[in-house]
Amino acid sequence: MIINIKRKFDFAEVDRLIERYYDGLTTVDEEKQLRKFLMQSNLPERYQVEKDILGFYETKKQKAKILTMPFTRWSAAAAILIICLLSVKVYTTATPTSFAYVNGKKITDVHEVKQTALASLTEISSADNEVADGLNSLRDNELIDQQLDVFTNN
Amino acid sequence: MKSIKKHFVPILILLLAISPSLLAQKDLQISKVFDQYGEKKGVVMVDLTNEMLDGYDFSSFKSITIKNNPSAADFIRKCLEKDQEGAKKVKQVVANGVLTSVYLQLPRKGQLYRLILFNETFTPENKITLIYIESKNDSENILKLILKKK
Repeated sequence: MIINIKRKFDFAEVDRLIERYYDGLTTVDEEKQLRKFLMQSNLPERYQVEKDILGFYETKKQKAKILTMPFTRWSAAAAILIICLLSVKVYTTATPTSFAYVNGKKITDVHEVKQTALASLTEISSADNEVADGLNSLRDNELIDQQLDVFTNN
Repeated sequence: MKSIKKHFVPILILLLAISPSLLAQKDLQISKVFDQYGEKKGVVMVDLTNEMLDGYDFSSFKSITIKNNPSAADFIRKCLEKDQEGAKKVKQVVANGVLTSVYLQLPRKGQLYRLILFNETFTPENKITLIYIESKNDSENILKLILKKK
């Protein structure tokens, strides 16, 4: 494999790439090629500086890879997912969907809760009649008074 | 590590986005009434979620009935003052300068119509009833339905 790489590279071509590298003109692909070349053993002494520079970056990259091992990544992702699912479950099931409190006592029986809800609705709807009821009772009183007047006149 | 961060943030955003829809009433001042008085003596509080209630199709129904507690009534009135901003008053009864009854149609929240109903009676005893309703049905239809069932 090393032989193949060596064969692929022409020293003049490598020199040209190094020059371009220092000028900041190399493409990602060219830098890859250069790195491949410099990673080889038994290179001429004149490439030692470039080998040190690019070799340093290569080892640093490898170390970073070790830090993010797939197992660690997957287990962390799984842990996060489990925490999220548990939080959603706890969040949605912490309290029953329907409940009532009567004098501080919790009721969860759906039928009873519904009856209590209907009772509060009745409170509102019957209150809506208050004005009309008041007027009606006023009319009733007037009627009673009129009827009583008949007796007092006699 | 970067990829974990990349996935964690969208999940967190998603969870935060879901939670407000579950607590649409929490943005209202009256939610404090339920929190503060709901579990006290002399109080009846009901919390229904996604239940069919005798013909009413509510996404959420919360009611609280408080007996003989004038300070609670004052607190509710203060909460209603804030909540009625931007809301449509369907009915309001003020007796001796004091609000005793109000029906509020709140602005829609997403697909949900929201209603607040408040009533205070003094005879035979002082009783406050506060109801909060969320429904996909038009709030006017809900009101008609409620007031029809006397």
